[in-house]
Amino acid sequence: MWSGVKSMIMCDECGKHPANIHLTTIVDGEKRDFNLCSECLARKKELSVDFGAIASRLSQMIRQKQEKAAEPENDMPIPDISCAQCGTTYAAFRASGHVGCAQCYEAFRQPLTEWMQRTHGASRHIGRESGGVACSVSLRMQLDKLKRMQKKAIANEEYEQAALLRDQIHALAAEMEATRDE
Amino acid sequence: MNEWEAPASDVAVLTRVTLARNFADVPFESVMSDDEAAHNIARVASAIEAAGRKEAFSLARLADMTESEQGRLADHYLISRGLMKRPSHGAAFLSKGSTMSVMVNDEDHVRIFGMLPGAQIERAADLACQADGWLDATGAYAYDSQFGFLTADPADAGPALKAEVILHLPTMRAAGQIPRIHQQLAKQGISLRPLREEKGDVPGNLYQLLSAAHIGCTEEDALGALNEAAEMIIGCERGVRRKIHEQDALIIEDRVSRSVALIHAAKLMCEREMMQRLSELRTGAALGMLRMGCEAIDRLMCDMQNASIECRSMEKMTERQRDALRADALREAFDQVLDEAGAI
Repeated sequence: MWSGVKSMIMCDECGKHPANIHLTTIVDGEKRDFNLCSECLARKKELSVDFGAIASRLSQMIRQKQEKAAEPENDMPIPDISCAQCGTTYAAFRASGHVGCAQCYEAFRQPLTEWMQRTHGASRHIGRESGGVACSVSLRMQLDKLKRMQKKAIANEEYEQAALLRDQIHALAAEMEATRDE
Repeated sequence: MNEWEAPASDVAVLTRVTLARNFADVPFESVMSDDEAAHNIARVASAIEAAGRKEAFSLARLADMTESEQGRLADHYLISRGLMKRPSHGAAFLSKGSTMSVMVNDEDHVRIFGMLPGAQIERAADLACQADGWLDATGAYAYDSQFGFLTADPADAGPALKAEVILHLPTMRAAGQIPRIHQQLAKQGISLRPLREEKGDVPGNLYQLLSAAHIGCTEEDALGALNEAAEMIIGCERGVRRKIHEQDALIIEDRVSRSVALIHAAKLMCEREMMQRLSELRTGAALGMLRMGCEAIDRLMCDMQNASIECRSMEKMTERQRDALRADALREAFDQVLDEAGAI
């Protein structure tokens, strides 16, 4: 970063002329101060980095990166892998949008993880589990709704209502536990 | 937020929740053999039997059915149009009350429908999850701790749940509000689109409100979002209807009466006109102008579509013969509904 202030002290570079420019440079986080005359400053500028050009190049790179992100598929290399079970290749999946069997998910785990992350912003399942405890969706939704209502009641300082809702939440949670035990 | 007015059948026709499931030891439909397809059907049959529900379900094999018979099931929301593209492998286990359907060998090995009239998202989800539990008990599901339930299209993996509400939106459509709502909902990942679109027309003014639970979101997230969207649209449609009714009730009464008269007088009626007439009647019924329920009209909308009319005859019909048969069948069925309900 350039910053200039007028000075009456002598130039650090030549020592012959009064320094009329104070130069501060920050390179790799290290700050250095120079007092320079106009001639030495001009020489230093020639040897120095053209920050204007860098800024322009950086903004160009950012723009290109944003354009790339908008078209996530175009420049992504397609890995040369296939499923040992059914023979479907990753390229074939990308062309058809379909995998051949459940084992394909294992074979393509890494690229699929990245693909899902780009497509849905997530790559880990958080819903119902297979073989897990079946719990009524409506009970879970009702519980979520009561919790939202309780939060709202507390925010509105309706503490009596919030207490009623808390009791309902406890009763419903107990009902869900009972469903699990059955 | 208003409390849910179940089942909201004045606007909502049907709620359907779909779960997509596959078996780990069988390749997906695109590379599946005939034997493997038959094995999937047998496996679902034994899971339903093990759950003690064998008597409550009937099996429909698409290979044993005509195209019209398959179309009739699709018109009644019991199978997907996609299953009809796989007639050699496809089958469906249909529950007696038409509240559950387990399709086998569609794009995924199993697609479970939980269906109820009106807007009953949570209860329809419970039905689908119930059947899911029977099949999960086989221990054969393709499930991965990272990816969740594995599907033929990895974009659907995770909870692999889709939920939809079929809505009757005649006044919102007439008021030109659908595109605005569509845009508003698209930001939340919910789609509102015509159930069928033919030459720029929306038959019966029926729309599909759809939400899907993808990887990284729970079933409850998707169903909750759909619930809120359905509530909002139903409220909006009711509001516009009420406003029009208050401003000019005569125009609605005129349309309803004309539709009743046309149904009684017509000798030829194409599918498009039938849907239009029944849509007018549905609006009248919802506003209390007809002493008949919206659900009865919804049944007529399904029963009078091309595939169902074709199923009434053993022989292949021309378009004109079909329209003539539809006019007669509609008149007869409509009068029967009115008789049961106690006339206009």
